[in-house]
Amino acid sequence: MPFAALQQILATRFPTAVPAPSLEPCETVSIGIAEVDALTGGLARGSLVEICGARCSGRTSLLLATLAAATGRGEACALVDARDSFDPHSAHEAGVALDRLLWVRCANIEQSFRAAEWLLLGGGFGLVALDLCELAPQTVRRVPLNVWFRFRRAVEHTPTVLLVLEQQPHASTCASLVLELRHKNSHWSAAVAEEESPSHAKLFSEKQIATQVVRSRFGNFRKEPFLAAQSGEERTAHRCSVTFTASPDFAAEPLPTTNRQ
Amino acid sequence: MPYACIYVADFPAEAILRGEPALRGFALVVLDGQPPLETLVAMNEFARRAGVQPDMPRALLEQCPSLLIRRRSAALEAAAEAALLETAETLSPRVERVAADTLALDLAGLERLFGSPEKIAAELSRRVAQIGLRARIGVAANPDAAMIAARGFSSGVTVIAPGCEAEILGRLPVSALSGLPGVVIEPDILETLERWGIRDFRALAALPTAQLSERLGQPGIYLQQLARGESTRVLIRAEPVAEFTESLELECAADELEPLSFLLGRLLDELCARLAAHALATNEIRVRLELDAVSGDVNLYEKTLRLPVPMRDSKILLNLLRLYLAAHPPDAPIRKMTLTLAAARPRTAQGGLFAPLAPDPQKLEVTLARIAGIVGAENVGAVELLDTHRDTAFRMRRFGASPATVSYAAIATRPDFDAAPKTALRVFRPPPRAVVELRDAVPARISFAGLRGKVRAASGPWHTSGDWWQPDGWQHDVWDIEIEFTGNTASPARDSAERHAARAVAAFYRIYFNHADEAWFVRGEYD
Repeated sequence: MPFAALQQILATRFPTAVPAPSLEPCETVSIGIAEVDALTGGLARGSLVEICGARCSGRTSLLLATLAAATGRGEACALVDARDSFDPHSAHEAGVALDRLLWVRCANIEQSFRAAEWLLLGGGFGLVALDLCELAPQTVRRVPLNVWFRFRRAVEHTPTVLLVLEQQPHASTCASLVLELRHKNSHWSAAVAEEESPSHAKLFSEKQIATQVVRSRFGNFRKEPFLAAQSGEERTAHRCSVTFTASPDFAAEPLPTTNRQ
Repeated sequence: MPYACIYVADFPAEAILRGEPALRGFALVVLDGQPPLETLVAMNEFARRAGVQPDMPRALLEQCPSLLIRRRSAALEAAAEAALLETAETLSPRVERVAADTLALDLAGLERLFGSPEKIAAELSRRVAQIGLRARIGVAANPDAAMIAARGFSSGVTVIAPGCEAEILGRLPVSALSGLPGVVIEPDILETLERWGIRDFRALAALPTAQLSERLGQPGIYLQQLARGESTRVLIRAEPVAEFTESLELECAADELEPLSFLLGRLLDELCARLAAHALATNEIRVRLELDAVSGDVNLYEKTLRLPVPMRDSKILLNLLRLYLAAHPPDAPIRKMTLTLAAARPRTAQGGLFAPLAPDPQKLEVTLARIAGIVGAENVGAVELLDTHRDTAFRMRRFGASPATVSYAAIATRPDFDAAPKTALRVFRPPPRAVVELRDAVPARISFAGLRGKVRAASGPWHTSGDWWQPDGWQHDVWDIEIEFTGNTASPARDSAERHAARAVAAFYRIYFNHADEAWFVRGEYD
């Protein structure tokens, strides 16, 4: 007997034993990458979302795509940069409207969390991103759980999405969605394989990034319509990972070789 | 055409009581002049009832324990005068400043708004009371009669019906003419009237005009017109205010910001009420603090806080001011503070149901001030790219100061824009120095920040240079490399789990050779 059918029988006979899943309608916004949007159903407003992964796993690419989508909707966004590693030129190339983005350049974790809290309390931002990628996991692990609860409480029932970028998930049950990114593959221009090809004839052309849903408060309810549309089946298996491709900004145009005088 | 006059009796005392409302229930006298030759310039009703006489010296006044003695404050009087003028202007656009304590108003056309002259006078009295002053109001058919009524009668409101001026003003003594602002009377005229037995306005008004003119000339005719309530003149309109100022002098110097915030809040409440009365807001706060100087010299602290949008919410302004003072604290205890708000038209914005999310400008300003207090003002704001090929060139500017000028639609239609996800670069500030081993002029091995690895693939060099005529000119050979980390990657900044992860997967970096330093650096990593 399928699990869903068993669950339905139990819910009918023992309604208190099987809690109803949270089906509150909530507005979602696009992440900016179609494949990840299809996987997650978008980012729910008023939720805390964690994006984690190792170095070069594509976290920043996903962040810039999300910021580009949010600022493209005309929303004001904020980025709390724990180690001052944000590259405005990459953001510009990714389509982020820089005049709608508030950048807070912090020097340590205390500054980052305090700044993020003030931004959440001030309200009015469509997206507040807390970039902890450059901090060691054990440093972030020392943050008490009540801080994450405070963040969740500050952001819920608001139209703001709190996006936390880090190496490992730390917000525990406070996070509505946890995505893990992994570098899957990379492609260089065709000449790279040839030993005799000069190095300046090669280009780092694209990078494939695997995205996996580690945990979602909304379960697979959000994915059902998409999966049904894709496969035509009424209920399908839980698909929890996709791969998307990101290319550097110079993939189409080489770097300038002369200075603008 | 009715006119009104606002007169604040004992103005120096009222100005002090306005600044310190807690003194209202006490007998107060105000002294002016250099010690010990100080003279009494004003007192309140409690002091008058206690038997204080205008010619009492300070030594005598100090013997009365229940009497509060204050020095005259020009700053408080100026603030009270400005507040009085602004209050009058909320009722009538035609106001003349006759003296610091006396204003004349043209009430023409106000009947439709407020009703009879009595109701207008009552409304005027109420509004003046709201700014902490007690005033007498006189209403008459001409400004001089209204002024004489306000200054001559001690009752709160005196309304003289048209044609009854001579009858009502007739009760006043002739000496009431001597203190009128703008009316110059030679002393010998008053002595002459005294010798004639002219004691009150009624007697002066009854004198035959021709004979009075023969004996006292035009000044005598003018005085008789005043006594009859028949003088006519045109109001000289006061200049509209461009800024609002309030001051407060402290008896004991304050050296902490927390108790000071209560006083700042009170000043801001008054200033914002004045702004609201004029339907104005402010976009600039000027703070002037007189500090307790050790050497005896006046130590001034003057700062200007500019706001991106006009606002007049006293709580928000107080928060901004507190955060600003906390970030730029004065270096000595504060003795006197003066706040000046520049007048500006209030922001008018039409909210929309489908307008995109944006923080409230006033709340945003407080939030930015708080964050600036944490990370520094130069580390928070919107970023603006500079028109140069230097890949680290940008500058920070105030966030939200200008409306959005770039829309996603504009970006999407940019010819070089591709909506596909972009691989982002995370930059290292400052860039760590790297040791690069070349093979056939191509990076083969690299080590930096405790990480060591083999270069799997490299793309470059991309030569960039510029600003060679400047001290900070650059000449770089840029490479994009894929590194496979190997061996011991002991790094103080990275933990074991991260080192393991770094060893396990390939990583993509942008490095450059700086010709000026003859060294390799790591610009950042592709993430």
